[in-house]
Amino acid sequence: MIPIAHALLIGRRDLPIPEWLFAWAAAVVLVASFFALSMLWTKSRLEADTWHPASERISALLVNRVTELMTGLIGVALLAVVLWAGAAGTQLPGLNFAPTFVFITFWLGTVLVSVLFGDVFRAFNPWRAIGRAYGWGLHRLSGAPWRPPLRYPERLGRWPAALGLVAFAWLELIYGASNPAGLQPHDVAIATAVYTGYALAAMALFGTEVWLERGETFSVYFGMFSRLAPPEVRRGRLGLRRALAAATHWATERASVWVVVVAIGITAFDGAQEGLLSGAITSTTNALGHVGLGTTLSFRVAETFFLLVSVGAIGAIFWAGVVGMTSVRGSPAVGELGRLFAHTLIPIALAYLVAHYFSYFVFGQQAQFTYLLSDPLGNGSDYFGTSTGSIDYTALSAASIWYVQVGALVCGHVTGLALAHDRAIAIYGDPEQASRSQRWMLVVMVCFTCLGLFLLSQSNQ
Amino acid sequence: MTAVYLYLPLAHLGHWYWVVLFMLPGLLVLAGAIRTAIQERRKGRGERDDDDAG
Repeated sequence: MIPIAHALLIGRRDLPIPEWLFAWAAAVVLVASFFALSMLWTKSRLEADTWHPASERISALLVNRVTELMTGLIGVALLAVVLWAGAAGTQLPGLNFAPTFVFITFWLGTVLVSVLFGDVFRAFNPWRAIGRAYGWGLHRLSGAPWRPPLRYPERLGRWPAALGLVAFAWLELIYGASNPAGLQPHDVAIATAVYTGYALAAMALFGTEVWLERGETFSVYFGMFSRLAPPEVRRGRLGLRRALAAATHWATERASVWVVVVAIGITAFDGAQEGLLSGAITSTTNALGHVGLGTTLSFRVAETFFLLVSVGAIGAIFWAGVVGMTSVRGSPAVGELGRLFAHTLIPIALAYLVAHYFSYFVFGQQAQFTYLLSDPLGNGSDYFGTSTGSIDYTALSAASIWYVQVGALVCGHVTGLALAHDRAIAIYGDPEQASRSQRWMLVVMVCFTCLGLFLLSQSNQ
Repeated sequence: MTAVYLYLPLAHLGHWYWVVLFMLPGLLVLAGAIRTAIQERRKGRGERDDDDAG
């Protein structure tokens, strides 16, 4: 792990009430929101297509051939800097551009940008830019539009993206944590190169757009969060839609529900491994060590097991709620119902991300835009005159971090509840029947909120 | 012997009571949802029986 890490660096908070009381307050807010939605939200408002084009001048200014080329080039250049810094720079993770950029700026910052401005990653995606350049080159050479040689297997759905998220989390949280010095920049460069080769091969086989929509981990992940934002580009034209509305049409592909479940599960695991699961991970590691596995391998096997358990636990809570909903007359089958409500977990994935990594992101960005930007290799260079900058750990107080965490969790779950209520009205037609079904989603939301606050209280000890 | 059985869990109360406090809201909402679902099922069954009898 990167040493500049989570809120635990701040120390214990000085809160006016015990932490568990926040869980009760959050549950009361959710129950009150449930009743308010039942009484006031009687028509489906998010299912219809509300997109309308923005001013032609603004659209032409932001979306054109030049900006598309420029953003693609910026994406490829940043990919090259990560590879270069990781391979040629210092192997001290905190002083090298690559780890902080990949695991904080890219992984967390792109989510923030996506939620505010839509699918911005699509424009900057280096693999898309290379894939499109490849297709364009073949088109020029052969004179005919390039066609991918293979058809994407429908049954795979978004499974490659979900497994890619697990692999990314494994690299950061397990492989990195098994090294006392943290994840080495060299390893980040190798992982980036391997992923680049994998993504480009998959795009060459199945087609660029098909792979971006279903298999490319980061396009699917950031694209999922971008569905919450109003801006959207359609057929080269920028437009606006009702916030949250596009989320209702996200889970059209098979395994979409597992993408969002994995997104929540890996964040929950990161919180739990520092608190709730730390004892269990240690005992499992010791037990595996006694069986004869080496210390590092024992640790990785134990952590991998608990990572999968965390993802499974999140999936189990969600599916329990879905099974509960089938008790309401007129419900679709369990599998279909799960797909229909998968998008309601997107705000929860966002809430978990904000709650767990808010302080990590704020501190990491101070490093990213000062010394890591000026001295990406950590070899003493000073390209922008900011290499002497440092992280101000007093920028956030422990109490303010906790309030942001609680606020994020409550807002995320209330939004999830609203999305679920809107979808239930669309399915059941009758608002009363819809509310009846949503009692089960209320249970899911309250459980996720309390679990999130519990994990945070543990990891902040 | 009895005193030991009563005493041991309480000695560790400080380690786990707050876990219950965190989880209790979820359990209460779950209990409420199950209770209401059972009541509605009974009510539905009762209405069906009345229809059959009528």
